Amino acid sequence: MINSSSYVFIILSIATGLLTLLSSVGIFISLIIQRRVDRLQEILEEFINLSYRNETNLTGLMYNLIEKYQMHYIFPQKPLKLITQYIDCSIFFVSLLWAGSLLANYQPPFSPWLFIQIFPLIIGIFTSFFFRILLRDTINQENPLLETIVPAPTKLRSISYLSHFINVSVKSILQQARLSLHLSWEKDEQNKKKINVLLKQELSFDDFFYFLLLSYEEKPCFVSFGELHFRFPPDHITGKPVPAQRNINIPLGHFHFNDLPEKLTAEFLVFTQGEKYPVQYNYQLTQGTNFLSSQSNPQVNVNHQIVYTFAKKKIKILSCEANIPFLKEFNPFFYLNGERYYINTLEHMAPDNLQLRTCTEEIFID
Amino acid sequence: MGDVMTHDTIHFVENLQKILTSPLCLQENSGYLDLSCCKDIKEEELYKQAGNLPQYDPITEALALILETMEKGPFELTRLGINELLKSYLIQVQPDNEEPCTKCYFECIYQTYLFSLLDIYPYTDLFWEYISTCFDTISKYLIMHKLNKGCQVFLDKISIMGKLSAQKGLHTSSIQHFLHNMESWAREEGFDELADNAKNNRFNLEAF
Repeated sequence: MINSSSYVFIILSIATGLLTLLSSVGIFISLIIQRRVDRLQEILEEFINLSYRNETNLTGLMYNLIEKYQMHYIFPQKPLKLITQYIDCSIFFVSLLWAGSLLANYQPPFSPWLFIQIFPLIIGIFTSFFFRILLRDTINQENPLLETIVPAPTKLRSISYLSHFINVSVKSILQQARLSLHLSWEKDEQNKKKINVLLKQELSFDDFFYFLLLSYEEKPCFVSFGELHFRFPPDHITGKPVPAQRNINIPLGHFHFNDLPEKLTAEFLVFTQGEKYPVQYNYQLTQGTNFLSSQSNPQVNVNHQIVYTFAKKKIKILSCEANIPFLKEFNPFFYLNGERYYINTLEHMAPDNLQLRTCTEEIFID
Repeated sequence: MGDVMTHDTIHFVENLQKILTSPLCLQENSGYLDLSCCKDIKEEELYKQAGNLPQYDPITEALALILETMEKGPFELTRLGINELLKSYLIQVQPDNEEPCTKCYFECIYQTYLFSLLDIYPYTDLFWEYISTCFDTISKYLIMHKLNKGCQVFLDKISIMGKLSAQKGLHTSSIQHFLHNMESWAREEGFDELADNAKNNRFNLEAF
């Protein structure tokens, strides 16, 4: 038998020992996290530096960097669980020992003093739980604690994030995405001829607002606008996360036309958070066999004649001196809700009876 | 060869056209012994063929002229040279010689391309942009004339160049575009295998 008065001290020193071990686990975790943050920030910096070199083709490099970032970003699941279990067990056991030692010294009768006496115990248990939450958050991905210094890999494809927080040139980033338009021609159910409009991206950059105007012989025939947001679920076979994709096709809507026109001009504006002038693409679409696409590289420039701002989940155009039809008229509908809208009946359009359609076709890879 | 290079575009093109109208040498058994082509040779055969000469190859001569312009001359001459070479390819390629003919011409184009990647060559971007826009027209011609086997050889060679360019940081948008167009044309003409290959090459262009 162990002397009961010294037993309490032994129990308490065991509890102290457990807490010391727990804190050394905390130090161990912070060392790992530090290394990981270092690596991630290095890759991030490399990525940002790349975006300043717009004269070369960096699409492949950028894609590889995003993949690399993703690789360092994820913690392996098994040790993660083990560490959380260890923290949980230690805290539970320490609390038990504290409570036990108090109970062993409890002498009836009951008095209100007891509440004040067990108050330190309650504080101790609370603090350990906070410590647990902190540690768990540190090792878990996508936590608010580290998000500002190491963003989630999906943020690397977000133009708004890149331009808003890191201030890179939107134009040179978009240049690597190589946006292009592809119009294909088919017959619909009622045997009417319709032209499907597709936006192609070679590297998936999202989180921006676009406005597209197609005109045939200076007459507008199709308008589409909306916000682009991609959701790439993890690969259903390998289970790997997909931070970015290649060869993305985004359906923007369709319109009816008597015949496949030989030539179309397109104006495509990109609005991003953190900028005030949109980037403008001018495409000259020419005919292939039963499709239209731009044969040469589009003209890309920042349009200083348009000033916009982001306000309450909407884009507000502050001033517009550029001669782009319908941009001002449709401005009240520039919602930032991830939807793609289009209007294909521009000729008989009355301002009070606007036939705004939503493009529900899924984004696909081809 | 050996004469001083001319900078007169008309003279240069005339000269090239004259060279390129001679018949191609595509036959394997021309009597000239190539060690890389035969696995085992008999001694008497070696002695017998010792004096044989290879056939006259107009493309090699044209290639030498083009390479010379790349080394010394203005880009315009190189551009004209490549254009002449590719035009003569389209004239020469026929259903009965599509594979060897394509191989032979695009070996040359590949050599000029490799030369253009040298650090001392100042017009790499211009050169690459020019040849990649030519490819679009060529592939359309080949598919419309149902030369799908030749087109396959052509595609293989182009994708090697495209991949190398992507690694060197040259822009590949026109190649991507070309591969996409080629895919649609091939699919419309019923060459599904060719279309699938073009698509596969497009997806792998920048995967390294």
